[in-house]
Amino acid sequence: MRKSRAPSKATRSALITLLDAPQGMHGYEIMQLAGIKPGTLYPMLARLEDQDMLVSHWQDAGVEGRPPRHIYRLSENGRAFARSLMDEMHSTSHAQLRSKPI
Amino acid sequence: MMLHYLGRLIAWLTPVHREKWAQAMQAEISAFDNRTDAMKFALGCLIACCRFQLEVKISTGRNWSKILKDRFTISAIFCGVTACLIGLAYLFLSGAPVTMVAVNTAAMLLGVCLAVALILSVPVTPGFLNAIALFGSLGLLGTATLGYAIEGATRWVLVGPFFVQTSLILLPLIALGFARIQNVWTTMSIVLASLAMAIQPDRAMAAMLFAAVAVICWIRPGKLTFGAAFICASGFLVTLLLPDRLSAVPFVDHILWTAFDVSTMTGLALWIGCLALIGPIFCVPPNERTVVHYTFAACWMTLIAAAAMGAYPTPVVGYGASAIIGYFLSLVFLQPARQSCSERKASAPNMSDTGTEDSSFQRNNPSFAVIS
Repeated sequence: MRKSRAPSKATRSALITLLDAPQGMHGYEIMQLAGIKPGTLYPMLARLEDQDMLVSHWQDAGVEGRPPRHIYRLSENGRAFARSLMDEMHSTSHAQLRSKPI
Repeated sequence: MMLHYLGRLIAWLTPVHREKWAQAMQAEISAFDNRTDAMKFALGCLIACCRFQLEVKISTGRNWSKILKDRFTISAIFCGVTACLIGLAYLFLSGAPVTMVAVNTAAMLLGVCLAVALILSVPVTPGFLNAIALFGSLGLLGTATLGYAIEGATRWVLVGPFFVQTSLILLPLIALGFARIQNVWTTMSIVLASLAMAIQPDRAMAAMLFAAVAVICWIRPGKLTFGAAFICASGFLVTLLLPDRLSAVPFVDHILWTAFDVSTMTGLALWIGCLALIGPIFCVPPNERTVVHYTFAACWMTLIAAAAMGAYPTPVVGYGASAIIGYFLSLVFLQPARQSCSERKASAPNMSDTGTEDSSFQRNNPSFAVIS
């Protein structure tokens, strides 16, 4: 697994979105829920898969004439990393609350 | 109809190793019920394809950890820097002008930085090797005809206040390019370089080119390598027949012997520094050594021998930025080959699996493969 840089805001958002969907999601769903543009989404998903954080498979579209769609879900590595990001976010928000003057 | 063409454009723009992602984007586009949304999404996907392309163009597949794991590159940087430092100590102890110490120090820093930056950012494709070899040989020919002449030898280009001996920078690159790929372009560059050395004339560099090509010919016998070796031998013979009246320059030529006048330790240290230049080959196990490693060693060994025998620059340890920069730059050509786009398309594995670019390259393209 290669984690050379801190994840971008879009990557964090996508990882946390996927953490809530263990069954996996379509690209468009991730885009909508995480608020990412397709130009960013696919290079990011490809990179996450290269880093063994994401697994993908084809799922039948269920509608005749439409090709199967790609479903993405987090791997064990990806889930652990997404959880660590969630924890980091929580601790940061708690620290900010504590530091606010009463 | 428009969406259909956009889908085809997405497939065409996406690099082969990301083909699966083009299929995923196309499938996603066809799942839309609303044409306007599908169009917006498809246009966004085109940006994704451009980013995939950019990733291919700027990626060499190499990063710091790969450089650190590459024994030859790391040992060559270490040996080159050690030789430079020994040379600096010699210049300092023998009372050379401070400018000489400063120039060699700057060349060492520049050479290391340039080599590392190029290794990290320039993909060594066959096209790149051909271009550098060919333009490099034209540069040598240009130096031989239009360069700065001293006592009948035309070997230098004046860059500001500095005399740059272009052959010390370009010739190792040309020889290593030929070691990597033996094709019409690299052979032509060897012929032009040999002609340039004969015109300049420069016995040491002509001998270096001949030694390098002879090693390549020995390991990879073939029409092109035999032809190139014959031309280089002829070029070297011409330089032997032409007069070489250039007198020795202090702190540059003959220093492997004059350093003993400073002290025995200085003389021995200078020899150790010189021999360290060919040390990297011994850091690679014999079964992993390739024609490129042997060519690299042959180039620098010949220059050391020439410096020991005649009034020729002592590489890296003596005063002179060209050899220092040339030594470090030649490491760029020692990096594993990367396939061009067309070759990748031809040898692309089934994209339904999730193999990474690196793994497919390693399977299809072993290091220093000869691509003729």
